This record gives sequence, structure tokens and C-alpha cells, in this order.
Amino acid sequence: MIDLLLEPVSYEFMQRALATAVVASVVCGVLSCWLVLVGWSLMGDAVSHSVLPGVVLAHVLGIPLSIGAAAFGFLAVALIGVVRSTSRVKEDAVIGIVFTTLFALGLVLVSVTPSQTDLNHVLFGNLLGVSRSDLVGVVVLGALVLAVLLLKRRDLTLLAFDPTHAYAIGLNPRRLSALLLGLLALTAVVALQAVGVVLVVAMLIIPGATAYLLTDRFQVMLLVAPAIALVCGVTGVYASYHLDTSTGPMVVLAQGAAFALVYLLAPRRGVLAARVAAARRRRQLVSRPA
Amino acid sequence: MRGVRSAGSAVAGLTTVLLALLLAGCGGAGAGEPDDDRPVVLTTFTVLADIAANVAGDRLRVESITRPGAEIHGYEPTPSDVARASDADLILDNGLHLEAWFEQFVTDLDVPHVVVSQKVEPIDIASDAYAGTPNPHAWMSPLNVISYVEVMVEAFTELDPDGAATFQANADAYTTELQAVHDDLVAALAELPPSHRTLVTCEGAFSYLARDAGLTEAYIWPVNAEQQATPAQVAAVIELVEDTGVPAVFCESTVSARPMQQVVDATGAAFGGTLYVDSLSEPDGPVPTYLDLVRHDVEVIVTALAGGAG
Amino acid sequence: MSAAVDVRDVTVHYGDVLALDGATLAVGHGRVCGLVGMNGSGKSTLLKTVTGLVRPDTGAVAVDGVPPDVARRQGVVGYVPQTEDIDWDFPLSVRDVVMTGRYGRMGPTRRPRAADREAVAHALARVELTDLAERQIGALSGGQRKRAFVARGLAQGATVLLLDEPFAGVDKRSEATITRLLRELAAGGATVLVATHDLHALPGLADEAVLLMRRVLRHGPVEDVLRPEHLALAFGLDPLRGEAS
Repeated sequence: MIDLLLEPVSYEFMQRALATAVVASVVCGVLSCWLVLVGWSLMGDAVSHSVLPGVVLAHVLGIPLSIGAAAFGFLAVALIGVVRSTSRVKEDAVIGIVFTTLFALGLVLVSVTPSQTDLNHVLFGNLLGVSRSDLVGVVVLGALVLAVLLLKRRDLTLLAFDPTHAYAIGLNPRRLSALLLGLLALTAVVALQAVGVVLVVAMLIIPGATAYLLTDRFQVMLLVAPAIALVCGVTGVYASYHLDTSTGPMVVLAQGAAFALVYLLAPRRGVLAARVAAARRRRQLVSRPA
Repeated sequence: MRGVRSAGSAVAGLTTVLLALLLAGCGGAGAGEPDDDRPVVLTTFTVLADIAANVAGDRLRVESITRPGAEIHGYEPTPSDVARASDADLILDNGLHLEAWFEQFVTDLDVPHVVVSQKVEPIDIASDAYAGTPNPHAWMSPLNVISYVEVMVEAFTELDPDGAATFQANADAYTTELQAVHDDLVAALAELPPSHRTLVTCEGAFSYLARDAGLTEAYIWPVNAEQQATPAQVAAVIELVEDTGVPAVFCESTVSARPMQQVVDATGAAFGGTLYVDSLSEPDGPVPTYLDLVRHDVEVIVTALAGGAG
Repeated sequence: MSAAVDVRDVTVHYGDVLALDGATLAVGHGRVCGLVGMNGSGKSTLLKTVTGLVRPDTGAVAVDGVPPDVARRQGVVGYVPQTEDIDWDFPLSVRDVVMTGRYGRMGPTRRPRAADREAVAHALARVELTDLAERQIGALSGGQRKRAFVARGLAQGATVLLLDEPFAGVDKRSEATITRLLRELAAGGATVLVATHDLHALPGLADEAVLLMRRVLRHGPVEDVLRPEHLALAFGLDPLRGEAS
């Protein structure tokens, strides 16, 4: 049994895979608390897809992928903001238009700069191929994002809850939004190395949504979501090793399984608990003396 | 705080359930045969594994990362693949950019790494986005494989010096057979009219065989191309077949033969047969070893070009 | 002495739609003023120009003699939102919400200090929500929810309090508590603007009332403004002309 736990991490590439998965899971998990409450799940999907052209261009120009990805993440957010405020098209359509176009641009760029492995890795993650320098980048960026999120967590929560009040007391909701979106772009860069562009959105939604079913306190969500994400990250990596399957998707499957378990079994808000409570109420009504 | 406690116990419960599921479904990573302590040589695909096994004999354990039939130009390794690479004593690559997909996984590994095509004179891919990069299919010519064998003997001797004589002897025997295949091909081709010494395939995987055997090569699309079987490409081949009057055309096993069927329908040429390129078959299949593979291909080519159908 | 809230000839367009058309209004310190008008009359827009969230196309707004942007940074204006504007499932407790009233005075990480905790406790006591302070905000009745947001304004120390439909869906007891509270605040020198449909609440609450229909139709004592013929103007019924102008 101990052997099952120790064997994978006897390999350096697995240690790096595990570390990357953990960092990505935790950072995404924390951020997901705000995203699911503000209703920015689609935005999370959009930003992660939009970074594709940035990654390809960075690869061509020989600059760090994070810079290219971040640039296009910010560009996407800016475009969405501009189009939304200057036309009557609704927000979800604007988001859909911008990110699919940028993503298609990325695919076109890939077709003229042949390197198929890299596209697969950008789309689906490359946990097994994380190099030592990649890992350093992930840890540094992840730590930075986490630090900012934690320092500004109260303002970001107020932004999510009541931006009008935030404005009224002298805060700058627009700047806070920009900050949150910027952190989202950087988080996408970290997470795409783990699970790729296509699945990043899962890491940005599932932990927060799961934690939301377990607690009524946002401060507790901020602890529970990354904790769940961490457990799922480790479980997914270990499972992919022992079942010999691709690693990134296993992490996402673990998160999905976690959500399913919580959805069904959560103490107060789980489906089972709700049924039991309803049945108990019915019995009490029936047995009440007339 | 009640909220924290209940959420915390939920997380703990979750962890337990997930771990239980994981361990229950655990089939075991497979650490390999228990008491085989021969040095392990890992190759990237089955053709190389077979060639290496012939040279290594019983002294080394030779394995292939990709299974028969897998796509060798872009394979996504699983954890056990990388783990095996990390545990291997020697890794053999084809080189010539075949294993671009593998490089990043091995750069940080502490395992000696030998490119077997290092003594081969590369042929560049002629056109398309890949122009200027080498064609990886050097092993399609037996003469190149003789060169592979030389490189392997050096590498194996360094890994297992006591086996030096054995490796050399194995190599010599194998080389004799390879040379025979090449000689047979050249002899058979000499009997054909010059204009029929044209090898028309789908994918351009046979450049090296063509060069070494004195065949003219023609293909619908260059290997690894993004544009595969465009109307212009097919038309060009149709024209060439009509000009040379070559009696048969062929297609590689790894791609669809439909474009070549269009050439067959448009000209009088016959479809000479499917040629194996990237992978051996399963042990009970048509081409379980490299010699089988290259002999099969040579026979199909020679028979068809001489006028018989495949 | 400058008015607490001074709106001068303010016009606001949302795209092509005219929301306010040369609205002019001045409310003195220590007064409770009711804004009366039907939907689309510009009540919410007017309140938003006072917070500075909406910038007028023409005209000017001053809060205590300074522009809304300056007043914002001083934490002068408190805003109690409409019920529909809040996500009641948001996982915050009553205490958390009231504490956000203090953010304008706190450091960049908004970590509460003793003074902040005291202000919050005091505000909760004034609105009689101390026992419910740890509840999630959605677990409260309509009236309790409103009181929580009033407490937020109290904790903030706002001297101008804006309430948008504070009595919608509120039980009688909470209505009474809120009314009493607002009068206490006014007596202490604060200025309160209440946008409301609930005309019955105004006589006990407001010192003056404003009839709004994209501009100020009438501004005066409550009994005067609420006379039927004046109300008819505001609600778009002119018996002599047939349709609102």
C-alpha cells in the first residue's frame, strides 16, 4: 500500500507532474470561488481558449509562453469589454464571439507553423513533459497569483457581491474587475500546462461550485475549494500512473467525481440530504395531532 | 465554527472515497518481469526494436515504447511509458525528427541516448511547410539499416562490454541478410525497362529506398504534409504515371489509399499493393520483423512493376 | 450653507433613452426626502448620479458642496440597494455585509481592527440584528435583510443615505424599525433620500417629498405632494389631457 504511494514519486518526471498539478489545482481552486459566484464561468472558458494564439506566437518568436499567453488573455478581456459596452449584443454572445475567433486564429497559426506535438500539449496539457524550468515558472507564477488573490480577497469578494456599494465607498470596481481578469489570464497560463486549454475551465469552476455546496461562508469556501482541488489533483495524478492513462484529464475526472459526490451527499445541500429532510417534514405533518 | 467543521469533514470523507476508488481500480503499473536483470534497451518504435533485438541477441532486453500499429510520428506517452524510459539503461532513437514528440520527455532523464541514424546521409523533404527538414524514414532502405546496426553495435558494446564479440557476430549475420535483400532488389529492377523503375506512393516515405536502389520516386504528398491529396497533387501524379507508363502504383499502410485509387482509375496502372512503413505487425501478422517488412515491400514492388498485379 | 444634496439641471441618457431631463433638486442637511414616481421616472438614475455611478450629460451634482467623486472617497454617501440587485445566495453573513461598509476606511487588505469591529457591533445593535449577525444574508426575512444593509450604511458613517425601494417586501415591524432609524439619523444631521412606491410610508417618515417624472414635477411638504391631483401628474394620468406629457 505504501508502495503504491511511493512508487510514482520515485520518478523525477512524476514529482514534477504532481507538483504542477498541485500548484495549478490550488490556484485555480481559489480563483474558482469568485468565478462561480460572479457568474464568470464562461469568461474562464473564454480566457483559457483565447491564449492559444499567444502561445503559438510566443513559440515562434522564442519568448516565454506565459508572456504570449498573458498578452492574449488580456487582449480577449479588453475586446470583450469594448464590444459589450459599445453594442447591444448580450454579454454571453460577445464572450462567445471573441474567444472562438481568437481560438480559431490560434489554430490557423498552428497550421502554418508545423509542430503538432506542441498543439496537442497546449490543448490537452503536458503534465508528463514538464521540465525543471517549466516547473519553476509554474511555481513562481502560481505563488504570485495566489498572493495577490489572498491580499485582495475582501475587495474581490465585495466586487462579486455588490459592486455598486464598492463604488459608493470610493473603491474602483473597474480596476478590481481588471485585476480579477488579469489574474484569470495568468492562472490560465499556469493551468494550461497541467490540463490544457480545453479543460482549464473545469479547474476554474468545479472546486468553487463544490465548495459552494458545502458551506455558507465565503471565507470557508476559500479554504475548502483549493483543498478539494488539491486532493483531486493528487488523486488524478496517482490514478493516471496506476491505470496508465493520460494525466491531465484524470485530474479533471477526479474533480468531476468530487462534485458528484458532494452534490449527492453534502450534509445540508446535497440531494440526498434534501430528500431526507423533505421526507422527515412530511412525516411530522402527518403525525401531528389534529 | 460548525460550518468549517462540517466542510472539513466533507473534504476528509471525499479524500477517503477517492483514494478507495483509486486503489480498488488499481491494476498495478507493472514493474516488468520479476527476475530479468539484463540491461534494458528502449526504442521508440517496433521497427527499431526488432533491428536492435537482432543485434543484441539474448544479452539485452529490447523493448519498444509504441505498440505495433501506433502512430510513431506523434505519440503521447503515458506515465508508464515515461517511467520505463526513466528506468531504461539505453534509449535508441531513430532521429531525423521522427521522435520530436519524445524529446522533451527524455531531456531531463539520466539515461544514455543514442540516435541510430547518425551515419545516414539524410534526404530532405522536398516541399510544403516541412521543406528543408529531413525525411525520417531512413530505415526503408536496407543499406541504411546496415548503418543503424553499426551504431547499435557501438552503443551496446559501451553498455555491455563483455558482449562485444557477440554483438559484432550478430551484426555481421544480420548485415549479410540486409545486403542480400538490397542486392535482390537491385537485380530485379535491372530487368525492368528504365521508365518502369518508378516508385509511385501516396506519402513519399520511400525516398531512401528509391535512392539506394536506383528507383525514381514519385508521391502524391510529401511525408508529414499538412495538405494531403489535394486535387493538384493527384493530377500531377496522374500525369507522371501516364508519361512514364509505369504499370503499378502503391500506397503506404499508414494512410488511406483512396487518393491512389483515383490515380488507378484515371490511368491504366494497377494498384500494386499496400507497403508497410512505420510499424511491424503483431507477431501473428504479415510483417512481424523488419526483414519480413522490407522483404514484403520489395516483393510487392518488384512483382507489380514487372507487370503482375499486387 | 450648501445643501446636502444639490442636483442642478441634470440630464441623463442611456443610449437613446432619456432617463432624466433637466432634473433640479436641493435637499438640506438633517432632512428625510422621499422620491416618488412610477417605474421609469428616473428615481434610481437620480440616486446613481448622487453616488457618481452615472455621470450626467448636462448639469451638475454636488454632495455637501463637493462633486460625487470626491464625496465617494470620503465615504460620505451610503447606498441601500433594491432587493433585486443582490444575490441572496451569496455566502456572506450579516456581519460580513455590515463590515463591508467600513472598507473605505481600512487598509489595502481590509483587515478589520478593533474600531471597525466596534462600529459594526454598534450598527447591528441599532438595527436590532445582533442575534442574527452570523446568519447568511439569505436566511433572513425581507425586513431583516433591509435592516442589514441600513446597518452597513451606519457602520460606514455615511452622512448621506440613499435607499432604493426600502419597503418592498418588508414586514410591518421592520418597516417601523427602519422608519424610526432613518428619523434618528436625520435628527443626528444625516440626509436621507428614499426612493419608493410605498406612499403610505411617507407621512411618518419624510420631511419633504419630490414627485419625479424625468424631472422634478413638485417638491414640497409630504401632505402637499401626495395630494391626488399632484400624484396624478406623476403617474401619468392627466384627466384633461388624456396622456402624460
